Amino acid sequence: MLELRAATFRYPVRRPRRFRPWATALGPGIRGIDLTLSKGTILGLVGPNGAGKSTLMQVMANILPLEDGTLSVEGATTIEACRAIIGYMPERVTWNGPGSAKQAIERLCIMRGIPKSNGHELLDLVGLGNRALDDLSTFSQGMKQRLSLAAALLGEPKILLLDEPLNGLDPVAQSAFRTLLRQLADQGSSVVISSHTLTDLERLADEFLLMHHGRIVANGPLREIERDLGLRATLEIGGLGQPPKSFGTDIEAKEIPLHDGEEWAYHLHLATGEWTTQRRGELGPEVTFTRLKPVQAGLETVISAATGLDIEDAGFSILSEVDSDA
Amino acid sequence: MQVSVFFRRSIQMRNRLQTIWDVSVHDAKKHIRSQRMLILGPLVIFLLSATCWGFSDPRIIPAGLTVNSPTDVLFLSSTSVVFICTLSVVLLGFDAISKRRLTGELAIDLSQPMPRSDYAWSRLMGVWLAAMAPTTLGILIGAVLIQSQMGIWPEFGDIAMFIISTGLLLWWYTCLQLLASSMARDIGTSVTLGVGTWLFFVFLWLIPTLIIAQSMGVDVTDTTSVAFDQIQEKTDLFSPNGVYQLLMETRLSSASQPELSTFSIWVSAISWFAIPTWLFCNRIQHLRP
Repeated sequence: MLELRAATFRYPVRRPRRFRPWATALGPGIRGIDLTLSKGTILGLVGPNGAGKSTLMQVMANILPLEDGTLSVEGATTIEACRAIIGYMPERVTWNGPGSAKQAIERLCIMRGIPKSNGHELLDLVGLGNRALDDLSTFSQGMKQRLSLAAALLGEPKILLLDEPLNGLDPVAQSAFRTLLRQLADQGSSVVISSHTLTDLERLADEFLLMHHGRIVANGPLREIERDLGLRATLEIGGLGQPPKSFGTDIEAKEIPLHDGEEWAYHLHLATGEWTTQRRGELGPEVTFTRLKPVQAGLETVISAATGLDIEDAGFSILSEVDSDA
Repeated sequence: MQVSVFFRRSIQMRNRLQTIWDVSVHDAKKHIRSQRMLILGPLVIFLLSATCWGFSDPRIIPAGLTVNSPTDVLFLSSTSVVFICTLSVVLLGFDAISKRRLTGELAIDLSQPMPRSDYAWSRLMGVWLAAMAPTTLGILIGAVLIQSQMGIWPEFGDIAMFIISTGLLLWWYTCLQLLASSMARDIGTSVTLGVGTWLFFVFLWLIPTLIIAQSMGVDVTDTTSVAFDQIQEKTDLFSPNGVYQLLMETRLSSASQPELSTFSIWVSAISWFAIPTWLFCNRIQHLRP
C-alpha cells in the first residue's frame, strides 16, 4: 500500500561561519529507511524523542520532500493523489481561534474537495458534536486531539498516519480510539501510529518499527523483536518474611531494593523459554507472594539491546538527540 | 478527442479556482471576525471617509493644497491608504503562516490534497479580501461625503481607479507580509519583518531617492527641480507606495500628470503583482511545517 525505499531526509541546521552567517549543514532526520506498509495493518512506530518518528510520518504524508530514495503509494501517481489517500494527524495541534471546530473542519473539507456533511459526521464520531459551535480557544487539549483525529479521518483515507495520538486523551477516549482504529484496520485501512512508550501501543499495533537516531533498529511483531534481540522473559516477584534461598540454575535473580521493612522483591530472568504457570509455581510453594507479574521490556531496554549501547549511556545519548532535533 | 480533453481540463480548472475562492472566503471571514479587525476595521473606515470629507471642504484644506474636483480629493485621500490600510495588511497578515506553523495547523493544511500553489493563492486572497473589505467600504462612504460637501459625485472611473490601485497596493503588501510570515520561525520576527518593510517604504524611501539623485549630480535641496522630480518618479517605480501614487496621478489633470508614460507605470504595477506573488507561491512549494 505504501512503500519507502532508502528514504532519506535531513533537516538543514544553522552552522554560522565568520563570513557566511547564514550557512547551514544537514542535521538530524531519517536515513535509509526501508518500509512496506501492508493493507489492514496497524504499525506502531516507537522510539525515543528525536528518533525521527515525526519526520518519517511527514515524509510518508508527502509534506517533507525526500532528499534521497523513493516513496510510492498504491493507486496514486501525483503528490496530490497521494495526499488524498493519506490522513495525517500531527503531534499536539493547538487549534486556535477565532472560529469553531465546525468551521475548522469545514475548511479542511473544502481543501479536500469533499462535502461539509462528512466533516460534521466525523465531529459527531469523535464526540465533539455538541461542542462543534464553541470557539476553539475554549477546548481542552484532549478535545483538540479529537479534532485532529477528525481532521485525519476526513475523506476516508486508506492510510492513516497518527503522531502521538493518545497524548491528552482520557482513558475512556483512549479505549474508544483503540476500538475505532481496530475497526478501520479490519476494513482494510493501514494505520501508522507513533509513540515513545511501548506500553501505549502494545495492545493496539500488529507490528512495530523501532527507530533510533533516524534509522530503523528493529521491526516486526513485538515478541519477535524481543526474541531477536535476545531479551529474556522477566518476572517480578515479591513477598514478606524470608525470601527463597535460590531460584534455580537457569534463573538469574536481581534484587529490587525496597525500604519497607520485611518486604522483598526480585526481578527474575529466565535464560530460555517463557514464564509458564508451572515455572511460576516452582519458585517456592512455601512463600506467600505479594507481587507476581511479568515485566514488559521498556523502550530503553529494547533500544539498548538493539543498538548494543549500555542503558545508562544510551539514556543520555537519547536525550541529547532531543535538542538537536527540536 | 481534443475537445473532450479541453472540457475536462476546463472543469478541473474551474474546480480548482472554486476551491481557492472558497478557502479564501473562509480565511477572510476568520480575519474579519478577529479581535484585531474590531480595532482596524472602524479605524480604516473612519480615516478614509474622514480624509475624503476633510479634503472636500475648502474651508479646512491645508495651505498650499489646491482642490478643484473630486478627483483631487480622492488623490489626496490616498495618503491615508498609504499610511493606514497598508499597516492594516501588515497587522492582519503577520501571523497568517507563522502562527499556523507554531500551532501545528500548517502541517494539517500542507497534508491536504490541494496543490500548494493553490494553497498559496488562497492564503494571499484570504488576507487581501479581509483588508479590502473595510477599505472599499471607507472609499464608498468617502465618495458619498465628497458629494455632500462638493455637490458633485466623483466620476465612476476615478472611484474605480482608486479601488483598483488600492487593491493592487494592498495585494503587494499582502505578498510581502505573508512572505515574511512564512520565512519567520516565530511571530516576533514576522512582525519585525513586516513592520520593517512597511516603515522602509512609507518613511524611508526618500533616503535612497536622495542618494541616487545626489550621486547623479542633481541638487536635492532645490524643491522646484524638474530633474529631481524625474529621478523621484523613476525610483518610485521600485516602491509599492511610489507605483500607487503614480497610478493615482494618472487620473489627475494634465498639469499634475506624471512624466513617466502610463504604460511604464502599469508595467511596474504588474511586475509588483507578479514577482512577490511568484516568490510567495515558490516559498509555499518548499515550505516545511
